[in-house]
Amino acid sequence: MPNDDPTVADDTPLYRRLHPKQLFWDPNRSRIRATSNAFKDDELSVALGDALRTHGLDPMWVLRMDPQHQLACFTAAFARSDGQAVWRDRLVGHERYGDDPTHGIVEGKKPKSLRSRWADECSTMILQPAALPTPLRARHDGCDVEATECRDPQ
Amino acid sequence: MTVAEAPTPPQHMIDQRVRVTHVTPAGQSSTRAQRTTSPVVYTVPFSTTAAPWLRDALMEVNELTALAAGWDSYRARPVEASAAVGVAMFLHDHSYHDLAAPQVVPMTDGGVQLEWHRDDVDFEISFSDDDPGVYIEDLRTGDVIEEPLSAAAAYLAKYRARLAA
Repeated sequence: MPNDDPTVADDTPLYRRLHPKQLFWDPNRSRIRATSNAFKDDELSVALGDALRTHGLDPMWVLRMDPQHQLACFTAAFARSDGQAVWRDRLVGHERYGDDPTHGIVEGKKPKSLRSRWADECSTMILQPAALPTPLRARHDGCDVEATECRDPQ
Repeated sequence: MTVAEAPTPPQHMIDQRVRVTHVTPAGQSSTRAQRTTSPVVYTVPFSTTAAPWLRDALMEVNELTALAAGWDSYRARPVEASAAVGVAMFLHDHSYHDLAAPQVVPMTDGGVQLEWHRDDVDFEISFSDDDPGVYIEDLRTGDVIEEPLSAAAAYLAKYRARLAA
């Protein structure tokens, strides 16, 4: 597994921002979830949960510049089990996000079947419910069990 | 079923437009592009008897063409005109009345994806230069089908009953 960084522990949560257009209500699963395309990039940018903790930050910090977005969450072990490498990629002077010590990459080919499974199994964290499109907000408000914590997908 | 017995395709009248606009160059931080004064306009004709969801779906396609580079807060490309027109043409040709409304979602590579998730079927059609095709997963049987885009119409017809509203 090229580039994999063993200092990113298997139980590290990885957070990926989701644009409102990447979210929808899934009648098959009775929950709001992300489209499979949210996980398409061969080098998928994420925020590393351990770095967030180290710097005293929480997942809301990942959304600091994106008031309309929500988060997908999965663990490093989940990504590695599909042959992905996880590594740190601290941003310095990024034009939009400035310095970001939490930035990481999940690297590897992500064929359609993998993307579909990730979309199904990762957690969708609705941290900014007021930003949801109206139909989804109604679904979210009526749902008692919507995931707001990162769980380890099986 | 013989050809003579096949369902009549939807009849169409000019009524609705999908405007595919030029988008801003890569690197702009805004998630919304400015519309130009000379958009490419693809006219999607449909009748008053078209599927009830068709107008909203076309409006969704139209909205997606306004997404700028980086719309996902990462490195997403703007929706390509070819993808928007491709999905509009497909919707025009397959707007079955009994079909549930599709999810119309942007792809990070500039494509557009139609999705239905109903009756234990996940059905996705990707209109994309990089990664076109149809992907179907039957959650009851575990069967997975992955085929070229050219097969999408046939599979949509096959799964139409399970993707009904």
